[in-house]
Amino acid sequence: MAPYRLREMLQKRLTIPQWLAAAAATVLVMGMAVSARAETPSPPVAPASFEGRVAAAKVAMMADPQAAYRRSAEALEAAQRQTDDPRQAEHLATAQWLQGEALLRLNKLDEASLVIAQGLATAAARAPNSKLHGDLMGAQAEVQALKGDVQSALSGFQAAHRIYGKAGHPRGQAMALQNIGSIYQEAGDYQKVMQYYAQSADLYPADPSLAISAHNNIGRALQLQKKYPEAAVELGKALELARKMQSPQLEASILENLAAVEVQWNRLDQAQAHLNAALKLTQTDPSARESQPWVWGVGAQVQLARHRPAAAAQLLARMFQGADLTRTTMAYRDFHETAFETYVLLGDEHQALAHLKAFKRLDDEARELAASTNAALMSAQFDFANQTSRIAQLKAGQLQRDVKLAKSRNTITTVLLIGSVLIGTLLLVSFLWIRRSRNEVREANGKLSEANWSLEKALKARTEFLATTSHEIRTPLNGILGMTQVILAERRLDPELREKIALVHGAGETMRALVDDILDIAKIETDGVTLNRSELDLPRVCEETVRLWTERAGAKQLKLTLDLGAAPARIVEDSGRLRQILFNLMSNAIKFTEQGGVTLTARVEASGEAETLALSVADTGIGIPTDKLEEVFESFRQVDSSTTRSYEGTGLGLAICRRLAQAMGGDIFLESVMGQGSTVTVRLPLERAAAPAEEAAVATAAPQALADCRLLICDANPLSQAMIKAVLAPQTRAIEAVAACDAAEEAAASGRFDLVLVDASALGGERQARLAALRSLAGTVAPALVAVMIADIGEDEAGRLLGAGAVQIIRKPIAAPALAGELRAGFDARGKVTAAAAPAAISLA
Amino acid sequence: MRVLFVEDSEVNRRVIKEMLRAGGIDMAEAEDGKVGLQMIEANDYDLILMDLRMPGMDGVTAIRHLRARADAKAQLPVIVLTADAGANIDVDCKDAGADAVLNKPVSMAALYEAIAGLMTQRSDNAVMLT
Repeated sequence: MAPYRLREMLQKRLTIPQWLAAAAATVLVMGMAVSARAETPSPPVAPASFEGRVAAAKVAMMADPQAAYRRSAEALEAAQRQTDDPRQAEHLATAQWLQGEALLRLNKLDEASLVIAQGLATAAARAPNSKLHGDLMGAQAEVQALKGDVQSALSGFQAAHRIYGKAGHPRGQAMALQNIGSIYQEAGDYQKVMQYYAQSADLYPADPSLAISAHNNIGRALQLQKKYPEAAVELGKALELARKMQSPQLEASILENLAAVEVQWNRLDQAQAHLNAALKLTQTDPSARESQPWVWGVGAQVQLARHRPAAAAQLLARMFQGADLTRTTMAYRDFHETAFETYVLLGDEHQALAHLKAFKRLDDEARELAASTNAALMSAQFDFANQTSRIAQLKAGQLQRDVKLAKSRNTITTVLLIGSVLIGTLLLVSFLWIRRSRNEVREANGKLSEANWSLEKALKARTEFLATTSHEIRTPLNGILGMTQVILAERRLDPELREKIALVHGAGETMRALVDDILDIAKIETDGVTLNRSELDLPRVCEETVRLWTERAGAKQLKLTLDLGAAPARIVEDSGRLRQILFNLMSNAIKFTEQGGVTLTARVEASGEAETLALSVADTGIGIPTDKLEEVFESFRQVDSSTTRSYEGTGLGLAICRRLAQAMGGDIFLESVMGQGSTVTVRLPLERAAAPAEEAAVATAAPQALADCRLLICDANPLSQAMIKAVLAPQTRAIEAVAACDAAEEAAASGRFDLVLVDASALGGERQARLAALRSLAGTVAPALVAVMIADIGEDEAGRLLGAGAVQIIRKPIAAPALAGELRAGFDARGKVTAAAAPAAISLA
Repeated sequence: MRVLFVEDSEVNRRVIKEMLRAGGIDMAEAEDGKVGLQMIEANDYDLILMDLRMPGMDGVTAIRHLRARADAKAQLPVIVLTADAGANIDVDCKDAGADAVLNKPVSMAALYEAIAGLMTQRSDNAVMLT
């Protein structure tokens, strides 16, 4: 934890190899800042001069690499103009070094490589074994480390170490040693880590930032070896230095690292104390804010250790807020483990699984990195050993020229033998070491995989069971619903009997809705939600959904209100799912409200550039107690299980709504006051759709053509009804069908239709009377027309029907496709008649 | 109009039969794909309703056989009625040659809508409203 955090603080987004060199870069840069402060005040430099630009670049390097890059580019230009300065070459190289460092921090590795190589060539030629040479060698090694070329990085840092030594620059040597140490950190070779960092601290104790880094990393290595007391001591030293440096940023980070060690050491009170101190720093000092998530994370570890998973979960929620668990960085790894343990204890299987997956992902990454680093190190050591033997070989070869051939051959063979033994031993040692650590890791991994697998299996089993059962239930349901439908479709049915059958049908429908809900949530939990987004008319969707509940609300004497004043007209969304959400919310609202009303509101909330669609359903119902507000979203939960009998339902509605809302990029919010009512609000990202080109204002006058007509069909025969609807739907503006005259009267009275096409069979025996009634009802809101379809009719009868209010008679049999033509002819004929004239009698052949 | 329903469950056959009767449609029955194909060979139908899961020959296979015929009957409209839901089922059925797929439990409205849709699409003048 420690090394990652320290570096991550200063570089926002780090991938695995990046932190490695960022370590060195950080130390280097902090060193720059420190030395800039510590240096004796030099004569004021003109900012436009080479020196000025260099100084500016160094200062900007930590906080604003982009600016540092620009300054160093300017420095390069300035150096290029110094044509008669004997030190021009060095100045060029310096500027290139700074450029390289800046590019490295901007993650432009290829460009960095290029410019550093140039600088290095210059330095090696003009100023070999100088500090500049060492800096450039070190920079090159950093880039190699970032690119994952561990071997080259290692030898690069070793070279830098040598060069700094020759340049008499112990600080540089110390930095090189720290860089090598961090390579060994990746490999997990703790002994080497401690060795190199200790060496670096010894070499140059004067630099506090180097010392802090050393103590921090040694502390980490000790922690990983489970030597907690020693680790705490090291971190304590780092803390002291950070305080002396007056860096709250560093202090917060080290405090949090220390707390993490103390948790593992089981000194929970001390850990908490250090965390509190760290938290205070993060709150008071903006530069320390970066440490906040980690403070919460370690805090969660403390709570977990104290057997308080709920408190731990709260802190973890803060830490992971807004984080994409499939993309967290290595620093989060141990906290994913903590989260996993916490959520398992809380029974939140989904969160637990998500964190377990994240932990595994990061753990695998770290293992792979360790393996590859070790392989690289092994090659490096192999090469080194190989080189030694080769050197010996060469020396022996020289002897061979002077001395007898046989004797020399012997020497070579011996040397070769020794060399190969050396190599063999090295390989064996490395192999054994890697195998040991691999075994440990494999064991831990094995346990993880098992837990992972059991968890997934349990989840799958539950969902499968639900899905299978529900599926089986659907088959007999088909029988029930099908037959009751058929019976209800019978025209001649005793009203009492009809009522009873309707009850059975209603109960069957409820059951089907429940089964659908169960299957839906099972599907959502296993496969997720696939959205089918398209343009839709939002006010219309809302109206239609509310209309579905008018009867039920009326039966309970609840007032339904629709507030679309601030609603967007056309949006892009999955209309099916949107309807599902609204339907569920309305259902709950009506279900749990005994008096008063339910209001559906649609409006837009804007914050900055983003717009949010807020759909609220507010009721004056029984309300939900504050401590149960979260629970109602859980599957199969209702607030009070004793109410389950009186308020039917599986309690799945809200759970499904939340999943859907989240899948759509939003969420659901619930406010409630016991005894007064609740308001559920769905907030979704709003995507507006272009208003359609046509859609002129609704004509208040009667439509003059079939295409502008809102048509109502009334036909008792389901086949005819469906066929007429099928052929006329594309020819009209809107179309609906009913089976009986009563339903037609109701629908016509609502004023939603311009033309009613009724089949004579639906009019029953008293045709004219019913027709007249229909006509008058249809005409109440706006002038509407009624046309009649009839077979076998004589002229007299036709005349009587026209007199009773029909505007057109259509004789059957007629080919379905011809129907549209007939109706259009009727419109044309009527168009030729003035308003004052009586409706023309139209007779058709 | 004559319809053949190929379905192994008697209850389901009965339900659909009654639903179709309400619209004045006669329905014949077959309990699996093989029997269904035999009946199609022997009789004339205007529409085939097909269940998917049946012992013996299943629905998709039966449809494939039907479509493989050399005569006009190969073009008979077919509506699949199935309890399985899912995009895969839809695609598989359509690939085999089904014209429409309905999910059980089938409502009368959905059934008639599908039938009307198919009938009006396929034969322009032949469909008469009587």
